[in-house]
Amino acid sequence: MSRPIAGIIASIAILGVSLIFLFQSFQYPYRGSYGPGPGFFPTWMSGILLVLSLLCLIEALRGKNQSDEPWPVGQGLRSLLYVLGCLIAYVFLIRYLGYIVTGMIFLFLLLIRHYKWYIALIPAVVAPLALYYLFRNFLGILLPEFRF
Amino acid sequence: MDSFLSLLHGFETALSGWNLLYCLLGVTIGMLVGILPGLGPVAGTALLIPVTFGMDPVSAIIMLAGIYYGSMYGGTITSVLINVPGETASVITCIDGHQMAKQGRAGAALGIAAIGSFIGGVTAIVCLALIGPVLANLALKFGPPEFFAIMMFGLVMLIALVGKSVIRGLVAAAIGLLLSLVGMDPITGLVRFNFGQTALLDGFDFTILAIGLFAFSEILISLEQSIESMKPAKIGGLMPRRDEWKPSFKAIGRGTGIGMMLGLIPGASAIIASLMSYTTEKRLAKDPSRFGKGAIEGVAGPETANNAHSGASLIPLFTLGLPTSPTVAVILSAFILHGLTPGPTLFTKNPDFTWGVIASMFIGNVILLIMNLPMIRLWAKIAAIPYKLLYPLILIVTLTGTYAVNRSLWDVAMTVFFGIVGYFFRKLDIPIAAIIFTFVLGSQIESSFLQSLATSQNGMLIFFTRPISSTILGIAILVLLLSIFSGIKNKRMKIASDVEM
Repeated sequence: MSRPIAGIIASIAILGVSLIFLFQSFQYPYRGSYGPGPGFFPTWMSGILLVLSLLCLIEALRGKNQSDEPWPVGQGLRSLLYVLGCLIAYVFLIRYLGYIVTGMIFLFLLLIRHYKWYIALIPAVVAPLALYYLFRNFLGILLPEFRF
Repeated sequence: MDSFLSLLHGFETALSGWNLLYCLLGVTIGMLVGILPGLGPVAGTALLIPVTFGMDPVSAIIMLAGIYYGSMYGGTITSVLINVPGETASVITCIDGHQMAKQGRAGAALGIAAIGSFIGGVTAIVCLALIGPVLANLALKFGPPEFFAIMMFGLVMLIALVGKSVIRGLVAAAIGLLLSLVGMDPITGLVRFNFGQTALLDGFDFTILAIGLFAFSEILISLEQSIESMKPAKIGGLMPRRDEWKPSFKAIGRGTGIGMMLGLIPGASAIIASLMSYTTEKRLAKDPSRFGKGAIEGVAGPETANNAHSGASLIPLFTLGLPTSPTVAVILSAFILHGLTPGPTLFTKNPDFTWGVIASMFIGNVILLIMNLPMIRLWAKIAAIPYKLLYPLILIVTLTGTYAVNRSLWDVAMTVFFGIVGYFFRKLDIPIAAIIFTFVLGSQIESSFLQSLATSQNGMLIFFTRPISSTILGIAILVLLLSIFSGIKNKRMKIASDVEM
């Protein structure tokens, strides 16, 4: 069977999440005034997830029914991490540099991988501006401003 | 015969200049609402009610109803093109629809979806016109236990979404349910699982989850291949292949039936209808392994079902004043605002109104079909933009959109987070459609469960002592057992044939 390591790690991660939720659930009242309270469903659901993640773990350890999806390597992996990096950078920078600037940087970084820089500039500059005005004038929504 | 004459009279009303315009306006707005993730038919309808204040009641409802079923047409477009469900029921269309788009068959997917939607919508309206009052009385008998039973039935339908491992499918369902619990409890108002974050007071937004888990993960996965070598898939014809017409129409037929049945039942939302259609098609197909890879029945059936559902769900509204879903509830408030009392007398006291609206729904569906079919060419061209340009554009547009939903940067961060989560889940064969499905239904499942137990004299038995809920639960258990049984049978047959080799 295919490498179950990923499956094992994932099962443990989900197990952890279910434990966190389970302990949180205990904080909410189990019984309400007329039957189950707000803690009832969360407790049971986290419990069920706990059991399921254990079963998942066992399945992974046995190597049964594992996913055949290949994990990316080399060029593919670099591509993936690069874009992911850009996305995370976008999320962090937007609150400081505002939407338009961050959007332009973001698009530019993504496009120069495939296009020459002077071609990449066109959509990189146009799109955020266009979207900004579209959202502002048609939907009345102001996108984040440059804040310094 | 009477009804038929009234219907003709209704057409007279519906085809009058202004009403025709309002119908057009309504369905266009509905389509836009369906296309834009983040703006659902509930919000769209609610936003436009004030606009209708000065209007005739007929015109107002014509427009609002148009938004409702129009959004079912629009939701398909983004689902197929960029794997983002424009509104909740379109989630199911993403599964095979987007795969078809990746194979250059976006045109065929959108085409069959439009045709199916039309057939489903019109059939539901015909039933509304003819046997509405009779069917609707059944809806009155539905209370919280029945809602819960329907939810359970819906959950059993998830089996079709499960990949290799049933356990992982269940994990996905459980995760979805748990995610839906984050935020304010609808019954007591207690805030749960927000871990101190004010942004989570309302829980997770469907749009954020959908865009993250579906669209972003899709893009992340595509990045693994060398993008330069990704040739834009040729637009392989704008219509389904010859051998696909027959199975599509069968799927459409079944989808209509399923959508209509579930539309009548309060609490059964369109997403259940879509999923049930998908499950049915997958079970009945000669080669179920095609599903998830671009099987046209996986688009034809669910799309028809959700349009049939929206048409049918107006029946309880008209005949009993019973809203079966949030959007319909908004339409109900519009009724009241305009001084109309929905209910059994609506047909007799205001025949002009009711038949006018019903006729306009026919017209609306025709308009939508006419609008959609030629536009498919346009959408297919969009799908053919080179991916290296397309994906950055998709990213920036969705990043902008997710901010706009709640004007919150937290939402943007969450979208990226769920994109990463979605990526891992897809790699691990954990079905993300199942997560979204249970997420959508989660709060309803909990509230119907708790309400049932609150009113029950004998605890959990209430689900089995009431005739309707026990029937539904019985069917659900039956379907579950059948699936398990056939699953085991398939495994045995596989092992046997392996041994024979």
